[in-house]
Amino acid sequence: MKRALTLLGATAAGFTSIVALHGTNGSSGPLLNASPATSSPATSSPATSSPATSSPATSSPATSSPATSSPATSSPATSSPATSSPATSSPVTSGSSPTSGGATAVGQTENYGYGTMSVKVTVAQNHIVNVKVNSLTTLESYSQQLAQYAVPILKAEVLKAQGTRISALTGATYTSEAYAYSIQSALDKLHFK
Amino acid sequence: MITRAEPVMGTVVSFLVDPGTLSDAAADRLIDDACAELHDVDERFSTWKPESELSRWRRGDVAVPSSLMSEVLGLSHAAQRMTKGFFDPWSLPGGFDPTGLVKGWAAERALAILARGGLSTALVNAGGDVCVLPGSAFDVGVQHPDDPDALCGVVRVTSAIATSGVYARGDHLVNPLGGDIAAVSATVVGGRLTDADVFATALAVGGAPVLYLLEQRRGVEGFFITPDGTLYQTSGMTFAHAATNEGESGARRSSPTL
Repeated sequence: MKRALTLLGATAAGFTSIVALHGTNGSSGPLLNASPATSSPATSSPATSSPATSSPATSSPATSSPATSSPATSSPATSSPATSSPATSSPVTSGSSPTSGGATAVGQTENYGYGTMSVKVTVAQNHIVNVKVNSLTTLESYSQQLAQYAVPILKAEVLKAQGTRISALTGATYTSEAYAYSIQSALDKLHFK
Repeated sequence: MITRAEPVMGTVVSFLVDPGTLSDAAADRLIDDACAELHDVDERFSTWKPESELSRWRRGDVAVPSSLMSEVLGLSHAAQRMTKGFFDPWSLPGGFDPTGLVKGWAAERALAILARGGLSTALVNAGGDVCVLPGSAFDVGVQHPDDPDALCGVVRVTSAIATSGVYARGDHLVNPLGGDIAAVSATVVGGRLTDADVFATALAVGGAPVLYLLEQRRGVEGFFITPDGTLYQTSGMTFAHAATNEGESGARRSSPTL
């Protein structure tokens, strides 16, 4: 267990801070504080100076599982991961469903600017075998900002390809069969001289 | 311009090359080499071929991964980190599947072969994942989510563009969070194609939170289209042409469902 934690600290540092490690037997073991490698919460978020830092104040840590209730002491103003909001987090299930008999660790809830999130890492045989988003909250102010850029795309008066000069087409991947009927196929013929 | 359409990796990879100072025959040979590279990558990373290294890796039959396999594993971890888990090759049914990353990466490798051979104007389109040589610029159409024969925009591309969506191959996206898919189509422009490819998938899955991540990446822009036909974009996203009616009533919409 100790070895696994060290490995996580080394490998997942910068991605998330490991707060607790749960065994696979379902017994939620004692909380282990973050390993040295994952400390310095102030630097763990890429967007600590974003407007998002104002939101965690409303958090209710009580709803989070022990895994996310961090012992860190930093103040909300610094937007350290420890203070971010777990208010809408889905509860962390202790030792939940490791994919291949490994150990699962849930990282600290981290403020990443747009909101907060925590990540669940599963380790088996000294390899990370799974990383999942464990909880995610989002920021209302960015949603409002985003809405200002929102535009409805026209369903009726779409740009017809034949009237627009393009060199290539990007879209959801077409199969080799569908290619024959695609705009890209027409372009490939068009460019050929 | 020389073109080539090579069926490989379950799709068709299109080349558009200006031979420049090279002869057409020399440019053709470079495209041959680039196609050979694509087939090599396909052999190694196909999930459909039971004896590919990836298939053997998924079965646990590979003791020491090849350098290419190691590179893909490293890129997969990096992709997972930079998308905050919205792109997750480990969350797919059937086990580790880096397919969403390999296609763009392979196109980059093919383009590198063209560059090393002395070409300076070239485009590689791996089934919708497009990369172009530095210094060249191409207008790329973005397929309309409602109509495969129409475009929802045209983007001037000087590095890479990738689109992910649920409309061409059916519902093939998986949300690692377990929720719905945010967008019917998502496009990312700029940077290296491997990253654009990964972020396009993440953006289609996650929507607004991933758009926010893109805002923080220099030189990278993107947009996604929700099922109701609303387009949300990064603040620096520009179109050569766009099929929108910005400015008319209804252009301001409520926030997307997060």
